[in-house]
Amino acid sequence: MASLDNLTVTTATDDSTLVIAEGQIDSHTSSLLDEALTAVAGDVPLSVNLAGITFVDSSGLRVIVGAHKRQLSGGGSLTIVKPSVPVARLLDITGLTPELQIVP
Amino acid sequence: MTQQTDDLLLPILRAALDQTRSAACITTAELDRPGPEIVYVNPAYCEMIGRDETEVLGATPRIMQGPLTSRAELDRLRRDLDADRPFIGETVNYRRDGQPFLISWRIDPVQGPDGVTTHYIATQDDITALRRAERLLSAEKAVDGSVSILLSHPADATTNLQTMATDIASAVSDLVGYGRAVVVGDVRLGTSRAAFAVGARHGADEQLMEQVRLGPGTVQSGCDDEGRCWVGCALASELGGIGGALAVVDLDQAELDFIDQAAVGRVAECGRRALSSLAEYERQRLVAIELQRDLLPETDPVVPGFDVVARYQPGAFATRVGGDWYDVVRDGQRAVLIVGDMAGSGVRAAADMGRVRLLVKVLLQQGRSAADALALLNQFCSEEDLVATALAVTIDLPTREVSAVSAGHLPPVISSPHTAEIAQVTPGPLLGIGGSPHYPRSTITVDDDTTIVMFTDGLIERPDELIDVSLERLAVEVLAANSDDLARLCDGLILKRQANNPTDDIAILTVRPSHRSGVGEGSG
Repeated sequence: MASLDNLTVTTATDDSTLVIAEGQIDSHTSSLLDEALTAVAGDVPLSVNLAGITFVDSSGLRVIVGAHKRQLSGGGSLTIVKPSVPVARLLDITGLTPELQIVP
Repeated sequence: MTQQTDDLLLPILRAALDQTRSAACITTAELDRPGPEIVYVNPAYCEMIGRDETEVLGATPRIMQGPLTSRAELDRLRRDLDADRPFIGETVNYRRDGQPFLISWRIDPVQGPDGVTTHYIATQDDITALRRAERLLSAEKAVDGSVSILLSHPADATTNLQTMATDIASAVSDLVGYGRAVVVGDVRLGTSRAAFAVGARHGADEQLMEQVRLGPGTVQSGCDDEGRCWVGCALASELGGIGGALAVVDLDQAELDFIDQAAVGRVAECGRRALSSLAEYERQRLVAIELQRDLLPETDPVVPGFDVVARYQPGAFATRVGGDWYDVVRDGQRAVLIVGDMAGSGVRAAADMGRVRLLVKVLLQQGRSAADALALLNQFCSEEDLVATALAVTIDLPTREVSAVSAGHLPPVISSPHTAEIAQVTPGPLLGIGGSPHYPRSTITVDDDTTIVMFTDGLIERPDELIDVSLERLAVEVLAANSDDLARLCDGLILKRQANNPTDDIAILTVRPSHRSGVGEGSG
């Protein structure tokens, strides 16, 4: 588990990899999530649980988009699991909802 | 113990006490004036206080006391001894040559067979160096900690510097323990200049500051005719034009003599580094702002038959400067208004924004629709690993038909004198997602009273609020402003936002039909 300011990131690896992020993803904290997602990148199914995320800004979106592209090009996949209401609304407004695999 | 063993042991006890390196002193138990009389001191004690055994025996321990000896500690000592309790304390004592030092001392009552206290035994250590090292470490840690916090959660340059100055003064205050720590100075960065003065006082202080300021960076001290003393050090930074000084004022001579002046210099050095970091941070922020402004249109764009006003307001944090843009592209009978937001920050984001802005302008000037232009822009951003959002509002000049295409960008607010609402714009994905997504076109119904307000998230975003709530609030603010004057509307929205400590860039682009010109009157 890694923590920075208001963000906590936990990684669990089994058949697939699950990254759980809780708190705020903003310009101060997005690097923490980016590091966690980069560390597990590859041809495996990667899930990111964002149920405990209260706020995402554009730097957070950038991390999510980066992970999405990285997983696709590496033959893996990225699934957003249980996005919180603020995350789900942001994905709607940024037109990402139809582009990403999302499990409510 | 029997008398026989006592006789055997006594010389050993005496030799042990004489030869231990712990300073020990035995006095009578007379607490009232003239006070206890010293009946024994060991060589370690004599060495510590800088006096011979001969001048100490028969004297009172009060000869070691001086101006900085703590009255409170002595009072506590008296209370403990009156109650036959052991005492442990710390205070300043003086050597024969007048040099002060800090002692930690313990006094225990020595009682005879009848249980009556006849003497006291005091053992003490010189803890001057220990306490000074502790205080210096703690002061340096406080200054380093303060600059780390400021750099991870910075405010504007002036506030940053004032906070840093306050924290340096506070650290020095704790370090020295006497007088009043002050930091005065000023900083010039690019076109902005901030003066800071913490605890500064007019008159005498300014004069001593001037002396300190002129100094070569070494610790200096002095006293005026009235015996008020100071110790200080220049706090100049080579970087960013910071000038300033750190000083401890309102000291008397005794306090000045006791102060660890070298430590003041060390903390000043620490403060100098901290201020340099802040100056460097501010310098980078200003470079990003300058670049950002260079890359944006210089004047409000002209669209015949429409009033157009745009604003760009850089974020307060260097981590939030750069990336927002607006533009208006005229092409034949249409005008395309664009507001965008490049994810990322600083000089890099500003430069990336410049590339993206230029590319979309060229694509539109080639006659492509806004939807096609954004689709191509998505390809470009995906290849370049850029992430951005953009909103393009197209006005057909002859018909005044308005449509919007969004690449993951916030929808505009559409307002007329009596209503304001969030436009229904179906967003395509943000730029840089890859693939070949479709960017849908949404029609916006407008009339002669309609104002379209396009903006970036810096105008509304709040970490503690759902984005829909923020959007609704903006619509209410636009309606409340009810301004005929678009410049006043833009400035009012930014001002309102600034009251809530915004951290992010803000770009606003507003457009509405000119009241004075009729439909189709404008020349193409």
